[in-house]
Amino acid sequence: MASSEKRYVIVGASAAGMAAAEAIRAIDKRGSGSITVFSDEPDPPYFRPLIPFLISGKKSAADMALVGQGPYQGVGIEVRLNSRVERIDSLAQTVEIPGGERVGYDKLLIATGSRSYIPPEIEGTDAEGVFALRTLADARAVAGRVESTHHAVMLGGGMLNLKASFALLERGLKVTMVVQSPQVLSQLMEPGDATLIRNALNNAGLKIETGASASRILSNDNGVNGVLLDDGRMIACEMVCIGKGVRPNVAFAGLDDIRIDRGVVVDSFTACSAYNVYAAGLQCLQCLRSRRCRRNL
Amino acid sequence: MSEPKEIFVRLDRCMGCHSCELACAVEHSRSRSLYGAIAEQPRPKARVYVESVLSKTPVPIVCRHCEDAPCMHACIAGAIRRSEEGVVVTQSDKCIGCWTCVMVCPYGVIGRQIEEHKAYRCDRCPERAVPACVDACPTKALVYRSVKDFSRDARQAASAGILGVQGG
Ligand SMILES: Cc1cc2nc3c(=O)[nH]c(=O)nc-3n(C[C@H](O)[C@H](O)[C@H](O)COP(=O)(O)OP(=O)(O)OC[C@H]3O[C@@H](n4cnc5c(N)ncnc54)[C@H](O)[C@@H]3O)c2cc1C
Repeated sequence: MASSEKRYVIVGASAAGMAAAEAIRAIDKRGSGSITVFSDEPDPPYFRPLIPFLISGKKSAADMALVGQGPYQGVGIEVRLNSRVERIDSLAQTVEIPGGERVGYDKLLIATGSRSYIPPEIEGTDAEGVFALRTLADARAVAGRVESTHHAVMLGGGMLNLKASFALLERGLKVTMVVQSPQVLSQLMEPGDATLIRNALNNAGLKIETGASASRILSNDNGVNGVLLDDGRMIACEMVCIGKGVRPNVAFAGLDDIRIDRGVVVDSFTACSAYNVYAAGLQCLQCLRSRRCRRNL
Repeated sequence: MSEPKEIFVRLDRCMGCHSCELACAVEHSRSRSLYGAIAEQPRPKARVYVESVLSKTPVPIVCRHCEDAPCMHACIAGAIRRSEEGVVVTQSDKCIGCWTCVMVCPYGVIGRQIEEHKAYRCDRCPERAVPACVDACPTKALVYRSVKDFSRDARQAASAGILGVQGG
């Protein structure tokens, strides 16, 4: 089969998946190879880092659409929304989506990124008004509760929660950030630098409680109405955003021959241990020493 | 479409007078005059830079509108596109000022307009036939030519040199 007639299947239609689709199309200029991108999201591909602007009201969902912007032209690329790939059969070279439809591939790219981590030790995280900002749908949900929220509590002091906090502050909400470590952005910077950031955040109106963590989220018929901290304090609030890191999306059935460590393990060509399967983006863990890696794959 | 033009630098001619920087800033000011530009806030910014390296040799450097532009692929807001003329353009209304383009540019020629929180770069002066920096260069160290014409000029200069030597 000529290379231009190949069937390329990509799982995940975000930064990595769509960049790969464009790169394949740039090489396969004749367009006779098919590129199908599966997304489990309902929204057409969008620039994920822009979603806080939907909460602040500075941008609409249409302003964030990826296709047609920058290098993303989407020509000859089929994106199938609401289509979660549940099974990868790397021997038969097929992927399976709900309803049992199987789609064959010659080359498969796993670009499934990551999802928010919800710590199981916090009770009550399924209450209405508890969010973890990751998708456009999450941003819509947060924006939808802003009107009925006076006080939002952010659990976790990483980048995502900071961005969410700022968007909520811009909407005029009172925002308190609860951080377990002694500083915000503790994973990213030295304590001295984090203090500078903390001062700037305080000046911007963000209240920060360090050295504390949530043990329970309290709710009533209207959803969240408070957060109980492990030191016994209770903070009344109508919204909670959890920003406690992310986990790779690698929960497919039939992945027995694809090596997963903390993510999909790939070599320096981003190839997985299964034939004709590649991975790119946030869920993949690259092992650069390609020869040794291949032996171990 | 006619051959796209590039800004070429003839290093042997640059005296380091910074006229290109001045002309660029004026061209990107609201008033488009030197006196007006000086008074403007935020200060109009030059998109061309004259750097001094190795015993103070001046080197004018400007966005090269790379064929495989790292800034365009790195932009997290889709604000950087390539125009039909091959110019890599930052669309100000889409830019969110995350500075990813600034970090990935291998030439360091994308600037930060801090006041407006927007990235800026050479736009090849879309309203002019010849970019302002090229127009302003008193020694013609900057030239605006297609690759084909620039090479032909170089060939002709070399040929004239050879003739001169042979005829000498
Ligand atoms: C609020 C926010 C702000 C951010 N700001 C910045 C920033 O300023 N700068 C920066 O560099 N980065 C930022 N990031 C991070 C950036 O968005 C990610 O690094 C980037 O999106 C990773 O891209 P990806 O393609 O690897 O994965 P993801 O963007 O996670 O996309 C993976 C996609 O695959 C889908 N998927 C997962 N499993 C399946 C399946 N089985 N079948 C079908 N589809 C599936 C997911 O739903 C998702 O749509 C931000 C992220 C967020 C959430």
